[in-house]
Amino acid sequence: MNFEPILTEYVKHQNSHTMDFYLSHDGYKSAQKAIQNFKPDELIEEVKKSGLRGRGGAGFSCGMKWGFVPKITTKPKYLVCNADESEPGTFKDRLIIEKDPHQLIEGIIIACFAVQIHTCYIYIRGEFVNGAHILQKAINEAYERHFLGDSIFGTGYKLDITIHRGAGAYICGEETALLSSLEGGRGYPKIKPPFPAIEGLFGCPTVVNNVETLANLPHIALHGADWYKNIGTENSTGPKIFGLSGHVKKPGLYELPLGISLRTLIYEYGGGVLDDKNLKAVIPGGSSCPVLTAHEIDTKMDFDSLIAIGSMLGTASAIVMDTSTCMVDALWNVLRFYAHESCGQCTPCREGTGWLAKIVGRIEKGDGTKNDLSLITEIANNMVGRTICVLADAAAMPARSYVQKFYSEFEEHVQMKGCPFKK
Amino acid sequence: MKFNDTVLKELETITSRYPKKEAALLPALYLLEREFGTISNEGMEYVASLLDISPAKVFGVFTFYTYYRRPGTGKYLIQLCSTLPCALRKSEFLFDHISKKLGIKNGETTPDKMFTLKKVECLGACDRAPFLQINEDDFEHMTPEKVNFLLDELRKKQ
Amino acid sequence: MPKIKINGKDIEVQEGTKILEACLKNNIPVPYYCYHPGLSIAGNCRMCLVKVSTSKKLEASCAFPCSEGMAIETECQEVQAARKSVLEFMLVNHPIDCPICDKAGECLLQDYTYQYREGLSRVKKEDKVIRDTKDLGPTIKIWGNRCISCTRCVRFCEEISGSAQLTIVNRGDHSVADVAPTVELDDPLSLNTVDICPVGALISKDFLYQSRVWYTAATESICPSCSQGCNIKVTVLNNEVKRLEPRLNADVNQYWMCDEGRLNYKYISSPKRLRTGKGTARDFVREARSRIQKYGKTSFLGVASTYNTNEELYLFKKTMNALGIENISIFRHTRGEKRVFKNGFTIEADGSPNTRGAEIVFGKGSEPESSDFKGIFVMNGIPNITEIPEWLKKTIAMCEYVALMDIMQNQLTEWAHALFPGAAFVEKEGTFVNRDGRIQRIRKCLDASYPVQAEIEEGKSGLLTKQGTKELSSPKGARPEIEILQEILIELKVRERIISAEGIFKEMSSEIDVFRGLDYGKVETQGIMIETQTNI
Repeated sequence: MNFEPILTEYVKHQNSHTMDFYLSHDGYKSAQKAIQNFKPDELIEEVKKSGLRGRGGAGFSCGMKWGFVPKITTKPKYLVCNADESEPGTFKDRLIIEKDPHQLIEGIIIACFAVQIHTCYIYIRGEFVNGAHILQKAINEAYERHFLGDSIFGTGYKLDITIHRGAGAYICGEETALLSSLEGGRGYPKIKPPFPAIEGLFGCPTVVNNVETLANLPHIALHGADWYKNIGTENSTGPKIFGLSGHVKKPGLYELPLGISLRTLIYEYGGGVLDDKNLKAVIPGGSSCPVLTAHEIDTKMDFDSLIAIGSMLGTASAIVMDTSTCMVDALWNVLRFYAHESCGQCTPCREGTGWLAKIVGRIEKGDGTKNDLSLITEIANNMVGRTICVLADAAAMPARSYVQKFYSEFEEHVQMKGCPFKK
Repeated sequence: MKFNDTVLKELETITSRYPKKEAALLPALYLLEREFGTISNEGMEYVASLLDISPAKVFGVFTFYTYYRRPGTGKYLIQLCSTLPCALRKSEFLFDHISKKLGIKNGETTPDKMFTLKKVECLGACDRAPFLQINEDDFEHMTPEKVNFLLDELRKKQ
Repeated sequence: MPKIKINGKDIEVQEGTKILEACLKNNIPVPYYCYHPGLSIAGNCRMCLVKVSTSKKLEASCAFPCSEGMAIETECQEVQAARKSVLEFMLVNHPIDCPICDKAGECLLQDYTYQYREGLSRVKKEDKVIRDTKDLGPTIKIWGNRCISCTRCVRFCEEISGSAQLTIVNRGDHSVADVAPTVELDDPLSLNTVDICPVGALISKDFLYQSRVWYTAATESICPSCSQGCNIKVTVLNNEVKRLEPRLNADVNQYWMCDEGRLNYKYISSPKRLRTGKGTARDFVREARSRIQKYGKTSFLGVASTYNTNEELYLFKKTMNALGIENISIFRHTRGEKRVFKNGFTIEADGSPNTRGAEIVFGKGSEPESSDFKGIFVMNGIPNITEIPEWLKKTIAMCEYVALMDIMQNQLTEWAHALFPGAAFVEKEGTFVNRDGRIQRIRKCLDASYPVQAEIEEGKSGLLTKQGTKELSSPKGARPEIEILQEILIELKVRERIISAEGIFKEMSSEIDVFRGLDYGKVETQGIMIETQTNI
């Protein structure tokens, strides 16, 4: 398939991150058009019609989320751009930030205008030091041209963007934890209700959107919802920046319409498994997704198809594992991640993530028992749906899937009191 | 321990972009790190006084976020990604190599205070595994040979 | 007013009520740790999860608002399974310290484990996270392993006292409550965090290892250390006060009390307590009468203090009247400046519990005009006197005859010719009127005349029961002041017999306007507001 990239059209150019380059490639025309030709509510409807779903992992309808913000309120409203990309396997937002930041800024302008917001914070993970520099430079350039500031495009509309750097916490990618962090606190997710659209940042109506989601907006505003709907599938519209990492020949980012098969992504675009080994397992969209076996890769990469087979699209960043991979070790690695990143607020996650990691670690080291195998699933069952945010689910659901789909491997570790892959 | 006037003005510009002063805590801690190298107890008390919040609040925030530099960190902080995608491309093997070469374990600093070695979680560059950061610089597709070269160059810079 | 159903029962609630509030108001038990009615909502312990008809998942009842038509289940299979799992998770890292933990017997984790938990532990001991045991400040030590990160203590310091000296540090299962390295927990209200800690993580250094709570008894009383009159309960073991704790009074102190008042009980069993008297009631009457005969009525001064109960003040006045003495002064007691905390909780500058009561009985007068007296009768009772006012020192120096009713050896006792050892606030019945004009009861929870454990000789060890000490020494001599005063009044032929404090109060209520119609039953456990005029 030869798909013309939309979001990543210019990223290979050396100066793609500069204002001059962006302007000479129709940059900021879309935002101007949106402000001139659309009323804010119309813009929300257009985005709703386009079917754009959040690209941060949850896949919620972008337009619908915007629609929850009260039209009449005395409080200031905020847009928060979630650039805290920390989901293991995911590196697509980094590309946009480092190589096409103006596309992001233009998307922010459109989003803010649609919801009548005048203040935007970009929460970028602390480790993206270079990205923050590039982004700040791009924002400065936008201010210079009055695309941001007191009267953007001379319309009298005020819009300010502030970059707020995170400092090493995966949980701050969760929207309410992000808000806690923006407010100067520990990254604790907040209880919902109330929802951020009603009571978010500083208690005010807030929209939180992922970088890639926002990057789609200039294209929707310029070409229209109908054009956008033609890409992808009926319920998963639009282009997606897919990721490939792990045991694959050509790891990297591939922009393709939603709905392509995982097999195509790995073999046609990724070049197949590294060293032509056999495929063993694939995580379709970041470590929070339940794992798929090599027999399940004919699934379509869209929101609904993956849910139907018990996994999820997540960030659409696939991690490929060949037959040399020990699945127990892989699960241990993933669980160590969640144990390390759990904010510690609520009991099932705080205790469960650490406990799970220790049990699987024991199994990998050869000290596991048969009971441990069923214990993993029971602990996971006790975590899902019982917590303030879904980090617990992100640890528990994959854990269940590894044990279920690779049970014999776990059993073997217990029986031989060691890891068969370490021989 | 105090910020000079320029830095204080910088902090003022930062706090002016938030409706509440205390929202500038994370940026303020980065300022502290930039100006004094690490974040010390004294520094946290100072930031607390600047933002009208309690030292306990600052300490709670500081211990939550792993990216801030703790006192005792060496001149070069080597942060090696150890999460699954990098692990699948032999990051553990690379870690063992660095650990052996520098003679330190995870989290430790070389006696000459030059290098601190830390395993960290996914740095968001999984297609360029094994990936690591040294201070604020990114290094991709790392191998033991590349690391040797890098560390030797850094030592030579002294 | 939304109409909801809880376990099938129809209930109407106020708009905005959370499910947990609705359950507790209607006596439907739901377990919880992090929720506290005096603090903001955290929703992190997940113990209060219930099934809600409007949600697919179980919801935290402390945070979820009721809405019209909502149906809630608190005991269905799903909820029970969730509770059991939360308890299991809590015990993953929480050590089984019960045999050495102060909180045993009043620990929510113990209570809920007994009530709801099933099954044995599935955790390996070596998996347990280790956290520090350390001092947080002068009053509190934390056993970090036991902390469940409920944030009650953090929220208390942020919302109630305003010191914000506590935080949670680290992340995940290394989370624990702690202070900043440079600022210890010296919050004047710090020990409230020990009350509200649901487990044995925060421990009062004062109460550490003092007693197993199931051997003790708790009695309701009022803190006498300032005029706010915090409602408290007194924990007693073997006729000795082991600790004071606040109890709820929404109109006075809510759920809290200050550290200073809380720790001000050691004097009750101090070796400096007056236990031996000098002279009898008869002696006093004779001496007083002889001075009055010789020098006149105006040569005798009566001094009462703002620490005395209403009943004591009333009887003191009766005594002075019966002797024909009109000069009566009031000895006041302050303790530094008034302090108001973030939520309005106050530590009053007036360091005594019954200034309003003294004003009601005696009016506003305090210092006498001259110090030209020949005899003086002082009813003190202030345990921590630091300074004797000049006027009192001068007067006593001039007096031929000094009678003193007091509880501690102090600068006054060395002058006394007649000494009547009195009772501390936990050793008698009585009432105080607090700064707002609320009359509140103190209750007797131990005997003044029993010697305390500290005085028991060596060798007579073993676990002492409440009666245990009786055999070992004879009663000494400290008694409730109203007994002493009634003895004097009997000598003066004004009364026939000694009656209880309750009886005295009944008498008072028929003679003093603001107490009219009141009795101990009406005052009961929360006190009652009376009309007080300050210019009686």
